[in-house]
Amino acid sequence: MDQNIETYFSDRYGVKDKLRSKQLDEFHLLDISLQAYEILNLLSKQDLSILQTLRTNRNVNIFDHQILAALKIKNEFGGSGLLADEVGLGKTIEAGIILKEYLTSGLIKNALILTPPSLVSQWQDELISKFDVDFVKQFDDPRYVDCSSHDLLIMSHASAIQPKNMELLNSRMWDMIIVDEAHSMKNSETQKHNLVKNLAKRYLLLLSATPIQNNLVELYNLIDLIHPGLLGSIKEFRDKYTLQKDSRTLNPFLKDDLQKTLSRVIIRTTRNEVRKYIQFTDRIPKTRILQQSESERILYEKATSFIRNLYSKGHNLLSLMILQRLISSSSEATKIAIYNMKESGSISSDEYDELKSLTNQIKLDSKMIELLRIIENDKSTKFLIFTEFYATQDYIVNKIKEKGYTVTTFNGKMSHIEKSESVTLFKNECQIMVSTGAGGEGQNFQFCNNIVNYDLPWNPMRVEQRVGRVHRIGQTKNVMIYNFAMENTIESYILELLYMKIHLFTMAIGDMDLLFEDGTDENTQSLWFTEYLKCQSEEEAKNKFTALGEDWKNRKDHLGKAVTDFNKQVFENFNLSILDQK
Amino acid sequence: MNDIDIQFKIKDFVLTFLESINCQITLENEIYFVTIEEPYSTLLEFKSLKFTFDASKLDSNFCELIAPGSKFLFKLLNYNIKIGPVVLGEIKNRQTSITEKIDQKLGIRFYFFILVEGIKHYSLIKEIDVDLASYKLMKLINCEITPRIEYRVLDYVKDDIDYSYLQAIDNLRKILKQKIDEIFAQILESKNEEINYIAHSFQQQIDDLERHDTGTKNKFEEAKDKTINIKNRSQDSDYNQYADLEEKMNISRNDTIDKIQALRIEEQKMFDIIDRKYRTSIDYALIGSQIFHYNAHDNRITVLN
Repeated sequence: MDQNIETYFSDRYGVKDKLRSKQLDEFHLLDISLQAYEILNLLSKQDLSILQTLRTNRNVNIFDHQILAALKIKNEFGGSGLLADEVGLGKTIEAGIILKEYLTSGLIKNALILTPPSLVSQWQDELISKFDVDFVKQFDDPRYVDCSSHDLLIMSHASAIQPKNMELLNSRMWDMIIVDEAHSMKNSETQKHNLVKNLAKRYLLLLSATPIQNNLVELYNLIDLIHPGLLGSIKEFRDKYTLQKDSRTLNPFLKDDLQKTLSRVIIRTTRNEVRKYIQFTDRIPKTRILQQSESERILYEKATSFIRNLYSKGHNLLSLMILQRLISSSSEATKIAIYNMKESGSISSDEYDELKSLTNQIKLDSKMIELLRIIENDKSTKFLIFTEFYATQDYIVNKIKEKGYTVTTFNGKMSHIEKSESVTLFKNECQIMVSTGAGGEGQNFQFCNNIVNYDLPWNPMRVEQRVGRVHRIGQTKNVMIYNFAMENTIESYILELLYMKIHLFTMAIGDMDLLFEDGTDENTQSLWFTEYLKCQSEEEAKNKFTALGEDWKNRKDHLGKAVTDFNKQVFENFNLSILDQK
Repeated sequence: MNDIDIQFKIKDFVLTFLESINCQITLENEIYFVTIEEPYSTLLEFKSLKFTFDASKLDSNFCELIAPGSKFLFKLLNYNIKIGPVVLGEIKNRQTSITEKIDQKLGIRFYFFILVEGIKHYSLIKEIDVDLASYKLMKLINCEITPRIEYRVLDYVKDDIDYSYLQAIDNLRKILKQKIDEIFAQILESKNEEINYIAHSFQQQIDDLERHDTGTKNKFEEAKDKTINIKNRSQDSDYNQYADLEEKMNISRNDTIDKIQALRIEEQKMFDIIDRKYRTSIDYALIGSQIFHYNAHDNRITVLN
């Protein structure tokens, strides 16, 4: 043990030098400095020093089970554990509390957060807006240098296992590592699992609502990350606790024994336990596949035909995808798309003029007509309208303002202060907020219960990010999710044949993660788009997306049942809640 | 110490500091409005602030609660722990006489912040007093060191500081030895518990492999006996069968050895990770000091031998 203790006699602030040179400070500075040390000293001895700040934080509702979970992790679990609350109970908040407490009381100085790619920005935003803790994220953050240069870093699981990143992450000691959607690490043969296993760390928090999905070995693998060897060797565990070779059945005679061990590392609160103070509401999707006006139809067909043509000539798929998404979004976004096509020489001036004249013929988008109709029918409630594009955002704002509604905006170009002011405005004064997809992450809009997806993200995880802003703890009403798409467009196929088929809008993020695994990245979207472009007719496209939707549905049904049955068998047998032990 | 006491200390600290840097402070119904002037506004990254120490005032006012977790408090604490103040003070005599003035001596008080960082955390503020002429430890009972207003020549040399510091550190370590040993014993206990779990788990895997290997070997021995019996009676092909079995057994044995070796490496890797996890540092950080005048005849002060 001795070799593991480093002893220092530091004099960081040059006291001895000052003494030697008889350089004296004003007397009161000693008092103030000692007071500061005394406060830090006291804070580190508190059970949960930030409790009062949390309870009075306007940006986040903190619930008892979250506080208790944080206390248990800190005071009983020694700083490491698996937070396995059921979906929607705020595991991120629990992790945030623990992180903030450890930082505030000086117990940690650095932390690494690993999340699925789609949640990186959301984590960053939530930590800054709710806990005032500023993490650097790996992408789209000008401050980012490399994986070993930041004390507070968020990155995706996938990115962390890149060889160069792995090496850098391994080159330092992490005081705390938080792994969100930790079921991704359930397989001990995977790089993700081994990354977390091999990183030098003092405290490890794993977050997952579904830590076991197929068999008990997955649970073993997760626990083994937190507390290696706690459950013995894998064979020992299997022989002792499971009845069959596939490890899907728990030995009922050893249930208590396993529970006792698991209760040293797992906290799991269920929705039923917190119903007395948390109201859970439903998500009600209201899909609108809208009939195109003649001009819209011709415009879409012509523009899509140009895109197909460009594709056949080998143009960059990603830029074509953006064009297609702009065209599906609104007439204003289409104007930008066709202008870009002209500027890049993809279409001639004549073709541009023809398309432009078609856009000019559209006086009001069919989507806009529907939007105004919906708002008109419900003038007393707030609407949060999402679009992926600034042009569409401006278009919606202008049209709504023309009709006399109060509206505010939200987007990724705004500063934190501007965003905060806009949210306050929406909360207190405006009926409508129009937000770009990227802007909504980390913000709470529970005071609103109507979402309009004016255009649709092609990544299912981004749908959840939008809905999650409104449908979260603290929402007291059912959430209406209006989804717009024009008929016979790729957007309508994605909406109707994929998303609706699997009830995406009512799915929990953990289930999505399970269903799509890593299949929701840009490659998958490119694949859909390529398939779409290859189709000679809309009928053919429709058939392709129908088949894809069927495939998704079958996978979902299969996985969903397996997970539900298994979780019931194992977790419903256990009591790993903190509330009963209160 | 309860939350109220800490909150009281925080309030005292924040207000004392803000007053010391000549901030404009106005108070209205427990809400403080503060304007911070340069250079502190740049150093603290706050120009003006509206805050309260009373959580109940937050509902109707958009202001910051100064409590553990507050950003402003965090900045203030961080700023003030970096001062490393050295000040001049004196222990006032109960009665001033000519003799006492003549017999004025110098003492030094070192302030240490002892911080154990690792899987267990421990911190303590401790002061040690040393006579600056003899480098002997001092014991002060019911003495208050107050600011020295009238400046007098500080009659000491650099070495006096260094020797006094060494004496203070030596004493500090002696005082804290028992506590620090206790903490390290706890850390070692936790570490050993983890090491034992890991060792047990790996030993199990190794035992399983060896059991499997013994099983294979036994099967081979059985088969070998049979083959030898047959061999006695027959041809080369039987011998080939025997050789074949032997080779299989050797392959199996080598495979087991490789697997065990891999497990040992893996186990060592885990031990190394645990080692890093439990790496602990202890810092006897010098955070401030006070040179003070005292009277040699003051019976509240003892210079220890």
